[in-house]
Formats: sequence, structure tokens, C-alpha cells
Amino acid sequence: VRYSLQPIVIKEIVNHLSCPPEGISAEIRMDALGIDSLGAITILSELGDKLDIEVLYEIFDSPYAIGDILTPLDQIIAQKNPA
Amino acid sequence: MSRRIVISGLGCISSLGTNVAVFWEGLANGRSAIGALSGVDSDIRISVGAQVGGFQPEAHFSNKDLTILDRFSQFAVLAAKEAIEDAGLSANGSILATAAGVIGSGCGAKQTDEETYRKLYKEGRTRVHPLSIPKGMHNAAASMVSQHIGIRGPVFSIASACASGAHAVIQGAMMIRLGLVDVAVVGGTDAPFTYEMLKAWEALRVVSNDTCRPFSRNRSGMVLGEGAAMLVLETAEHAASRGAHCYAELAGFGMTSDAGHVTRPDTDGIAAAIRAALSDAALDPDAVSYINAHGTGTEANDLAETEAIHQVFGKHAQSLAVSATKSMHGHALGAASAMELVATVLAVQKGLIPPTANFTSAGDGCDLDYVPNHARAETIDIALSNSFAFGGLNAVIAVRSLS
Repeated sequence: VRYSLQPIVIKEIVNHLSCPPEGISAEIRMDALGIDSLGAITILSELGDKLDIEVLYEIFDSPYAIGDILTPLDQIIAQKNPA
Repeated sequence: MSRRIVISGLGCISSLGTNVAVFWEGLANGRSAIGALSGVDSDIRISVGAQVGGFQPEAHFSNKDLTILDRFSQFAVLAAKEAIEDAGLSANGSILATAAGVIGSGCGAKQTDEETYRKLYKEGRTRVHPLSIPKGMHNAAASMVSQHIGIRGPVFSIASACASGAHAVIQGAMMIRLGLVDVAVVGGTDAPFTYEMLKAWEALRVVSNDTCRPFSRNRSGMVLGEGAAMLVLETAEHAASRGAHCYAELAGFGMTSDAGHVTRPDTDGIAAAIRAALSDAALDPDAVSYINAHGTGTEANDLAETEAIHQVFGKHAQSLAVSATKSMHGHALGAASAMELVATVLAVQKGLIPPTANFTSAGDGCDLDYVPNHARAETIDIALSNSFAFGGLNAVIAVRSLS
């Protein structure tokens, strides 16, 4: 992952859940946080806005861990901004 | 046999303030909340409005809630919460589990629509927010009220432009009369201050750039407002059984449609709605002492409404107090009729008629007592709240004092 995406993703999840950031790590599954499929695509959409990318929701099959989001997001960013 | 319906709770968020107490304080003091528009694009020619100033959604809702709550839903939820608390009902309580919820809105989730269109057509994006549909559907406000306060009976939205709130109140009252429910949370909400809406109203050339002066010679049109108002209706028997404080009785209602011009009000259609409300409430015209007018401040409305009142009330029209509170809270479209019903209920309960603010001198053909600029203390037994919508849809609600 070329960008420091993890803190951005976790911040978005914390913001969405209005919860403290402690204990939220890349290993935690979205469903374990009470995030359903609608919540997940909402978070991804808002991440897309923040990162200025078009998120393809289809590549994220739930349930998945927070860390699973990072690589696909990084790939989308890389395609948009090739090195 | 018809079941008596009482009003046991009120909620309101408007340009006059974010609760019923400040709403009434503003009306009682003839305070107009119309002012310079803020937060709108500079190429909009409409320069004044009645906005809910200083409203901070984050102070009332979590970030997660706000992802699904359009501004019109935010207003509806806050007003509904105030109304049920005022009625002595608790959110998610057993009474609300069987209650109805009917929420009127003239234009729906315009903020969400505008954000969606902005992304697609202005920013050239190919995807929009995944909650655009559930956040932007017309019934979103009704659904959010249901979710936030735990109404589990029949819930739906009503759309009849500027009479939406009144029609929603009437639908709730009809369900109570039919015995479908004992309690209904009803009202209207709208948040029309978006670029598209302002441009559309600008094109219609009925909006003032001065202020709202209903029935005055130098009137210059209507002024848009926003907000929500909600009422708790229940059977008198149900209210008595739980020792609820009640404001007034919802004595009857009338609904008609003009089947005529899409924007020009029809005197006969308005008069028929007033007569229908009086008939439904089994009232003689002479029993009415106050009418909260639709009173938009357009020449077409002011003349048609005044003439309709003459038609129905005859000589008694000269004894009526008729005031237009849109001069203070603006024309909040689908919420306006619910706000005006709240004003009417409080006028009856408190014995104080809110004025027509910004009044100068009566316009041609406007020859009633419009309660100019200052509230008037007067015992009111029966009052009417008039609401007339684009599309020729009329709704009138009769309120009776409990004292």
C-alpha cells in the first residue's frame, strides 16, 4: 500500500460510527463493528469522495476486515495516478 | 359514532426558533423572522427568506444518522420528538408502537437531490452516494420519524404542495375517527433553500425581495421559509385515560380541489373547503371567531381568500379576526400549514391572536380585520386554519377550545 490509507479508513469508520478510535484496527471485521452492507458502501462512498476516486463497490464482498479494504483502494488510486 | 380528537402535543422548528416556545413568543410579539438569505449562490435573485438560523445538525444527530437524514428529515424528526415529549409520550413507548405517523412535504428531500445532481451533472462523476435513494425518497422524513421515535403503526407521507401538512393532519385524524389507531403523530416538513428550488421559485415570479405583507396594499409576494411542525392527535378518551394535558379539540376538517388553474386560487373552491370544515364540525359560521389565513402575500391569494371568507360568513366576516402568520415564519411550503395549525391551536388555548406582521394599509379588495402588527387578546372558542396549495388543493381545519 503506497499511501497511508489505514488511518484514513479507520478515521472514516470512527466518524461513521461516532465511536472512539481505540480498539479499531485493520484486523477487525466490519460486521463485528455492526456495519452492515449499506453502512459499508456508505463508508466506501465517503472514502471515495475524500480520496477523489470512484470506488467500485462490487470488489468488496462482505463480510471482510477493515484491512481488506486497503489494497483494493490502493489499486484504484494507483490506476488513477500511475507512478 | 365519531370519536372526539384532541391535540395533546406540539413540536415546531422554524425560522422563529427551534422549539414551540420560541415560535409562539415570536408570533405573540409580531416578530418577523424574514431576513437576508444566507448560504446561497450569488446569482440567485431572491434575496430574502425565512431560514432556520444557526441550526447545527451535528448538535442533534450523530454522523451516522446524518448520512441518511436530509435536512427536511432532520426538521421532521426534531419537531416530532418535541411533540411526543410535550404529549408526555416517550420514544419507543408502547403507545407509539400502535400509533400512526403521517408527514406532509411539498418538495421532499431537495438537499439530497441537489447533491446528487451536482455530482452527476456539474462534477461529472459517474457514481453518487449509495444512500441517495433512501435519503432522498419523499417518504424519508416519515420513515425517519418512525425510526427515531418508534412509531410502528401506519406511517406514510403526503404530498399536496402548500397544503401537505394540513392534509397529513387530516389523514391522521381520519385514521383515529375510523378506529384504526388511537394516537397519530402528524405534521409537515420542508427545506427548500437549494439552488434549484430558488431558481425555480425565481422563475415563477411570485417571491418578494422585500418582505411578506399579506393583505397589504404594497404587498410584493410570498417569502419562502423552512422547518417542520408536528402535532400529537389522540382520542379524547385515550388522552383522558392517561391524564394527558390537551391544548384543544380538532373539531373538524374540509378538503376540496379547484379542478381549475394550477396556480391561481379559486374563490369557490376555497369557500367550499371552509364550508366543508364547518359542516364536518357541525358548526354555524357565526361560531368562528378567528381564521389563521393561508395569507401568502400574493395578490391572487389575498383577494381570493378574502372573497371566499365573505362568501361563507356573510356579515359575520366583519366580526372575524383573520391573520396571516406567514408574515413571520415565511411560507415553509409543506410545513407551513402545520406551523399555522400549531399557531391556531395556541391562539385558541392562550386566548391570543397572533398578528399579520409587516402590515401597512389594506390592499384593494382586502376589507377584513387582519389583526395588523400586534397580537390581540381575545377569547376564542372556534378557529379555522386555512391552507391552499398549487394545483388547486384546499384544506381547512377547525379547532375548538377545551375551556
